[in-house]
This record gives sequence, C-alpha cells and structure tokens, in this order.
Amino acid sequence: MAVSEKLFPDLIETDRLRLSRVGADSVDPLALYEHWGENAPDIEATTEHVSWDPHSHPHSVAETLERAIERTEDGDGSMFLLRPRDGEPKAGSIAGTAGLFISWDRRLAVFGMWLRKPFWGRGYSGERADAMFELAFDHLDLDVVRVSHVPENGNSERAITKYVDRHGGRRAGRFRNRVSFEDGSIHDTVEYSVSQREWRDADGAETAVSFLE
Amino acid sequence: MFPAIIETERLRLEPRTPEYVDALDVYEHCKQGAPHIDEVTEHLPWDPHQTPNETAAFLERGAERREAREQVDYVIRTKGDENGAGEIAGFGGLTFDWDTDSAELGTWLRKPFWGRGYSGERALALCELAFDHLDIGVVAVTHDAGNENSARAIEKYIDRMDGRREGTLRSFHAGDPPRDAVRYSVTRAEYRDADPDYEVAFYDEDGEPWP
Repeated sequence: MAVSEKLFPDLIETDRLRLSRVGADSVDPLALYEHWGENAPDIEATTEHVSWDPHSHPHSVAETLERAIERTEDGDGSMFLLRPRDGEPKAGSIAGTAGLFISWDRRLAVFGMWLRKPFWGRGYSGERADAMFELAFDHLDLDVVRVSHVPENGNSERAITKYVDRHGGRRAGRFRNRVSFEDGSIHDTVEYSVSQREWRDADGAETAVSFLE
Repeated sequence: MFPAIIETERLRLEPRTPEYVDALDVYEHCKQGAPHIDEVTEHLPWDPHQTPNETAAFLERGAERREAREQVDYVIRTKGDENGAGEIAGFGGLTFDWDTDSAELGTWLRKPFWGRGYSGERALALCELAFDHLDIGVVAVTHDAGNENSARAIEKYIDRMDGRREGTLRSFHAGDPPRDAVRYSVTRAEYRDADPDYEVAFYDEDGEPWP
C-alpha cells in the first residue's frame, strides 16, 4: 500500500450511509457499469449536469476506477462508493459516488458527487458532505473546500446551498465559461466555498461521522 | 495566428520572445533589487529574478507558449511623447483555454508606469484581438484579493466593456498562505454592445497590417 493511501480512510460511516473508498473496496467494474452504462436506468437524468458521459463499455468504467486509485496513491484525492446502511431502503446497494480532489499547494479540496435517481431527495448529498468536510478539514487539515454546479442544475443548487449554509460557507458567484464537459459542451459554474475556520465555528454536521480502517 | 505588433494610442506591444526583447534589458527591471520590484511583485504569481538565466527562460517560455497557441504575451513600451518612451514598461497578454472558449488577461507594469491608464489601454486592445480576430467567447481576468491598484484598473476597463465582477475564488493561487482571487469576465456580446471607443492597430512581423 502506498503511504499516501493511508491519508484516506477505507470506510466512513454516517447515520445512514457507508462510504467505502475505491481501492479499499474492490468493486467489480461490471457492477458499476450497471449504473454508469449508456443503458442504465435514468442515466440521462443523472448525468445531465455532470462533466462525464454515460460509459459505452465496462472497460472505461474500469479505467475511471483505476484513475481514482492512482489519485489516492498520489495523495491527490479519493473516490468513495455510497451505500445506504441497514434500515434504509435498498440498503447495501450502490447509491452513488463521492469524489474528493485535492490541491495541496493551495490547501484546497473540491467535492464531486453523483447519485442514482432512486436515492435523490433523501438528503444523502448533505450527509456525504458532512463526512467529506470532516475528512478534508479535521483529518487532512486543508484550508478551503470548494464545490460547484452548473447554473441549470437546480437539484444540486438546493442541496449544496443547504449544506454550505449549515457549515458556515458562502456562495462565491457565477463564473462564465469555467468548465468544459466530456461531450465538448462549455458551461458556467456557480461556486461555493467553506473555510476550515467557518466549518469549525458553524459546527453544522447533522450526522455522526466515523472513520474505519 | 497572432499579430506581431499591437499599437494603441500610447503603447506599442511586441512579442515576449528573445527575438524582440533582450533578456538582460528585461532582467534590469525584474531582478532582485530592481527599483520598486518588491512592490511590483507583491501581488503577482512570480518572485524577482535571481539570475539573467531566469529572465532568458521567461522569454523562451513566451516563445514556446506562443508557438503552442497556449498564450500570447507582449512586452509593453510607451510611444512618442510619453514619459519613458521606448523603455520596457511591462508585459501583458492572453492565456487561452480553448476548451472553454475563453482567454484570461494578465499583465504587470513597472511602477513609473502605474496610474496612467496603460493597463486599460492594453486590455481593450487585447480584447479586440480575442473577440474580433480569435473568436473567443469570454475574456476573464483575476486579481489578488488584496490588490487594490489592480482592482481599480480592472473595474474601470471591465465596466467600459459592460463586463461584470463575478466573485471571489478562495485559495485560487498556490502559496504559503494560498491567495484568494477576484474574477471578472466579459463576453463577446457584451463587448460588441458596449462598443468601447479606443484606438488599436495590428501588424505582422514585417510591419504590414495584420491579419
């Protein structure tokens, strides 16, 4: 195991979710392809506002997982698989993924998130964010977390506004022609940030968070 | 793909390449101990140069990035009757992000050339290059959150093009501590509607009108 990999927990538990790190969780690319493939249920809706396109074959799913593992080995971030815990509907199935992208020389982490449609509207994004803030600030001692959505993504705007407010952060504004997606399209972003100090002062987590080896 | 010479009312811009400007001349103005150099670089992403070799590498990067169409940067000189005419006043250019159909303005001026509106003159000329010739959709510019001089200059010329202040991006630049940046942008449509009044002319390597 690369030393840098030890920076990131294998498993995080919140009240309702288990977040297992890609690399520690040897998920089968074929299992994920069922959700990320071009013919996966609701794939158009769940990828409408994200930078990546539905996968056209399992090999590209495997490559995405390999890149996530590489990122962790380099110490530059992690990808976690989200599964509802016992007692939740569809407990144990893959509900989505959460990414953490780190820029150490800026002491900055950027959040990423994808959720399958049956799991929308349950507050899972905010619960995952509570866990990721604790990882970024309390464990990795980063200064700032940044998160953004495209202006058309009302669902993300609602979810992000809620948890950024709760953790004492702020909306920075709308930035034009800030990102390009895999399909070549160009988008503005609405960006938010939370500092470690704001996060500590706000003490806004709504879930217990525990880190497990 | 880019003009060699850009002339505005009071400025002449030439490529930041070893062909057009001498490394030792530039070194005089950006070396450690050069007049006001600490004030000039306080809010910039580089430190005063320790050797002329650094300056030569700076010019070579300018040529490489121009060749790769990643960035087009110019040495700025004042013309005619301006104070310090013909001297190196600073540098200014555009860094391209073709994937997002955007370019970012960047500049720095030596202190004797501050406060004369040169930054705005250079910005409008480069925006004409970006919008009218390179078909760029958005031109953006950032300044360090604490840089009041840049804030004033940028707000003024962004306003002339009907652009807008977008907001503060925290921890935008690496460093100890990392620095926040304020970002502004103007779209091609805003620029065309604003139709700002200024003079600019472009020339190729032989001094013929460009393009």
